[in-house]
Amino acid sequence: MITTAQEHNSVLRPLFRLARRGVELSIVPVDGRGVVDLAGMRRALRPATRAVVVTHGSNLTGNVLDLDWIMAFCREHGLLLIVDAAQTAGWYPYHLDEQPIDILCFTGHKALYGPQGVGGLYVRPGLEVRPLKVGGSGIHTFSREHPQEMPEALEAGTLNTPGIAGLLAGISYVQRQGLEAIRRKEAELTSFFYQEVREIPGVVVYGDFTASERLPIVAVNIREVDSSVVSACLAERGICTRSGGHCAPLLHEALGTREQGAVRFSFGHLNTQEELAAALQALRTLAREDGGKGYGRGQGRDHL
Amino acid sequence: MGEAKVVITFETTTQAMAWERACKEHGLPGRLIPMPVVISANCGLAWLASPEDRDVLLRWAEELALRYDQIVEMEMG
Repeated sequence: MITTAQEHNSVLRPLFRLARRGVELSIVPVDGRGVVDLAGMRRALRPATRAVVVTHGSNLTGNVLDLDWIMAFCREHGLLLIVDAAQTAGWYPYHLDEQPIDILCFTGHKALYGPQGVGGLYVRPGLEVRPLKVGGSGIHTFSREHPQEMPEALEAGTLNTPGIAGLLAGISYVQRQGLEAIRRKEAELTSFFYQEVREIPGVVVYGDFTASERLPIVAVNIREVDSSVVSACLAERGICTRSGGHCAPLLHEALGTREQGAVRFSFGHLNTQEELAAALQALRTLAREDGGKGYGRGQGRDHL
Repeated sequence: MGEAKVVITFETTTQAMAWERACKEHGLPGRLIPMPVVISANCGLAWLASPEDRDVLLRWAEELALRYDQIVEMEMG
């Protein structure tokens, strides 16, 4: 199987488990901006390669893979394509009836505006997936086997009905707003934030901002300051960010931020430019107060 | 004596939900009921309708490519 270094642990850990069971796993590297080396995908190809598993968009850098290239690559070599759309469902206009994607998994709580704890799995009709779980199904009570019909085959146990209702409300909201309108607003916010934040002395920005498309995510650090310290200081000012490793260990290693982590800003279309300006001002203050001393990991927030 | 009814059964809950949704959208007669045990003890859902609605339901099922398992005529009530 082939995957990339920008994956989330939700992809990596199942693959590492398969690797321990004997599956040969190739991990396509990323460059210093976290961009996946697509040529490396060709180099990773083996006669026994069966599948490509990729996250469409990084939850750390906001970089987006060239899905058209990957779909063509998989089709050319007869590989199954499994897409982690956790970041991109609700952002990218998937057309699963036309695109050669075999499996697509998504969560409800990001760009689909649903609650946490609900998500979905698309399985191309005709593709059989061995269930991880069997159990109650609401049908075929006296059969000793779990139903094999889809989707019941993969839905053992009571469904998260409140979560599904919340997800439906979120999807309906996205449809009413329009995907394009949401993307346009988020892209404007992201561009504004990036253009400003990159000018703040001492701030390091991660990711590829030359790409034509990217997610509304900007990950930064202030010099060598522990990302959790910066995040805590921002939280005191009412600015919510995510620090640490973002469950993306290989990408942090590639970016050189394994120890420091990073401060991730992720924008929604309901954010305003005024809110971003306040966040930028807070970053300027924090970067100035640090005074270039480069407080390192474990120095504590008092130093800021 | 019970009333004559048509019961349409499904292989999965998903099929039953798709059937109910289509019937609501197109104003078709009937309603979802728990699977009558005399038809199957395997639980699940079924569609209950009057015998005179059978043909129109089946025409729509074909037109909308709705899947079902069996059509059973029985007396209920």
